[in-house]
Amino acid sequence: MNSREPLVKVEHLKKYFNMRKKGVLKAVDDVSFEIYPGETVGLVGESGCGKTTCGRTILGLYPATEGKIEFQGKDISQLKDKKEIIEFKKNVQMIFQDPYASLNPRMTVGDIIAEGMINHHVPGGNDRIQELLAMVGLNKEYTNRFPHEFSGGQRQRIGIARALAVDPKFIVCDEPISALDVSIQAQVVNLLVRLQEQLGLTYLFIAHDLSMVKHISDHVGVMYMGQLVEFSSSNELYKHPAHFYTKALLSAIPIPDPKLEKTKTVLPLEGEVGSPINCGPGCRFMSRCKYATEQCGIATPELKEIGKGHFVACHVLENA
Amino acid sequence: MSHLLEVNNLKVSFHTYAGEVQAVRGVTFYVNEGETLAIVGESGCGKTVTSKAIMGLVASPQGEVKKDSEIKFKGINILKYTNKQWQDYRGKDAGMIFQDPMTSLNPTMKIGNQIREGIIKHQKVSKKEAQERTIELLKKVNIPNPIERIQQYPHEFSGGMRQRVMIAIALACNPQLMIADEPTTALDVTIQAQIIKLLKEIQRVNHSAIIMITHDLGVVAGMADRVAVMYAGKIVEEGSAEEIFENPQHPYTYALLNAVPNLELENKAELHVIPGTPPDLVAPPKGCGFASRCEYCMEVCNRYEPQYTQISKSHRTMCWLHDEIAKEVYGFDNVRSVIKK
Repeated sequence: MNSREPLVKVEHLKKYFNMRKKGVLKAVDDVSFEIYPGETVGLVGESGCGKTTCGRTILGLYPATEGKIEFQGKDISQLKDKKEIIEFKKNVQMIFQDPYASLNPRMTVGDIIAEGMINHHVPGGNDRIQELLAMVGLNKEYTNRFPHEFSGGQRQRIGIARALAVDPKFIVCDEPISALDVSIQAQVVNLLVRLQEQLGLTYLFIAHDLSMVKHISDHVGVMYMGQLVEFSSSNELYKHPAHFYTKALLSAIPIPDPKLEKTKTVLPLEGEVGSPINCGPGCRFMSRCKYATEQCGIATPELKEIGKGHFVACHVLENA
Repeated sequence: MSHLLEVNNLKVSFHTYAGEVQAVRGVTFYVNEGETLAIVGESGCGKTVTSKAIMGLVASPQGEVKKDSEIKFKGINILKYTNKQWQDYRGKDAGMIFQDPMTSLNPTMKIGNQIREGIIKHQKVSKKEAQERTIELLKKVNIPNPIERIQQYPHEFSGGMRQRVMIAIALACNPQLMIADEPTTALDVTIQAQIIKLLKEIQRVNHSAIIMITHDLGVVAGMADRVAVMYAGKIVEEGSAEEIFENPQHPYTYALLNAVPNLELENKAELHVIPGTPPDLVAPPKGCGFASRCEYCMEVCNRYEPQYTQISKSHRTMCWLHDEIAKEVYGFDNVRSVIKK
């Protein structure tokens, strides 16, 4: 991979939620990966697979049950010094999924963007807010307007401006485009790519739209029921998917070409994601995998490198 | 051949405090038996309102279907229906699958009762028969353990399962016309593929017509026989799926096609975007609705509305670039080859 130091290093991250009588929900179960500065790592998977939980735990919004998250070489759970904690929180920001719910309807755009700047004592005031608005492609005069005056795409831009306000190094984009129309999606993705080039940002891009993830990411991780089943550079993953789940996911992407789309074969993926509550050992994909063997039911497969920088967790592939 | 459904010059407006929103501004199309028509467009272009008008669900007094509009189902103008006739028509002749499976089911009713409702309403059957039909329907949409499932409430179902229940409700009386309003937008790709497969299968067996409303061009490519592209309350281009995807003639259509990231494309390459936002339909533009966002906008586009140009028997588009004079000035084929890059 890369000789540089990773900006974010996730090691054996686990996040369990205690459901009282129902048991324990293993939302994220033993996930490890690294994100290098200036790169984008995409996380894909079906709803409920733990991608959002993973992103939020990395930002420290949830305390990790087990495992370690390093940001710039420091374990974030060990940050004791208040200054260090504030510094960390200034460096990591988030862009949320739903632009209609993530902006306070009673605050003006200026206030929304300024809130973080005030809390973190970022200098600049009004000039900086206008600069940020211009940076995300909005009119400078919008500072005194309220969120309801904007369309979905514009609101998402406000959300991006808010995240950028405190000069972060790392941004978690939690499905930033799923709520938007195709033409607006392209606008927002272009903006994110441009900002990354200009400001040297690092992204964790969470989405279930596989074609957009491919487009924006350098590396892509595929999650299934709280576990990372495949991790690789995005070109490699889309050209040579190894895990059966990844293959099925990729074959399910609808292609906007009637001839191809009507003749292609979709790999059958019957059933739905099982419940991550109290799941036992073994490969979690087993119930939907037609290649499953006895071994799959006994031990959880671990990520093994099958090619340069291409990791897969699957017993069948390991033995093949 | 006469068409199963014919929509002629449909106009729907909503009266709001801001003024009259002209959501649908004169839409004409038809659907044949056993065929899938996809209506594609951005949010707010009027595609859902069109489908609601076909189901008679435009809420008055705010919503108004204009007088000279016509919706003919098997040759009869259904806009003249009385309330009683509408109730017979809904569910029996036409079924609708709504967009959001999370909110379209009644959370206080058992699944079985929600499906049975339509059967009891439209068919003279005993309760027991209705029950059997319900179980059969759930089997048809691939829900395991239907006998237990009918006793459960919507919150016990996942998103994909709920969408299947919605389809079962729409199917309950074997309607000849099914309207699917973004049936897969809220679902994951894998579940989406399952639902589309299911819809295709049902169509093959029942020989029903489907109007599919979506903004996902990939889904359209897999499902549709014909495609209508809507923009700002009008159909700007209509044709067979092949014609629309391989030979798009309206700048909006190819802008839409280009905005989808291609898996072959280089990573982080600039995606083609459609700048700006759709026009305000309270005061719709005098000329072409797309003019303000169009790369090929000419002076005439802002002044006069273009007429339909027939490209082939099934393919028509509404754009000034196809005018005789524009062809001379512009060299339209060149424009297209530039875009294709």
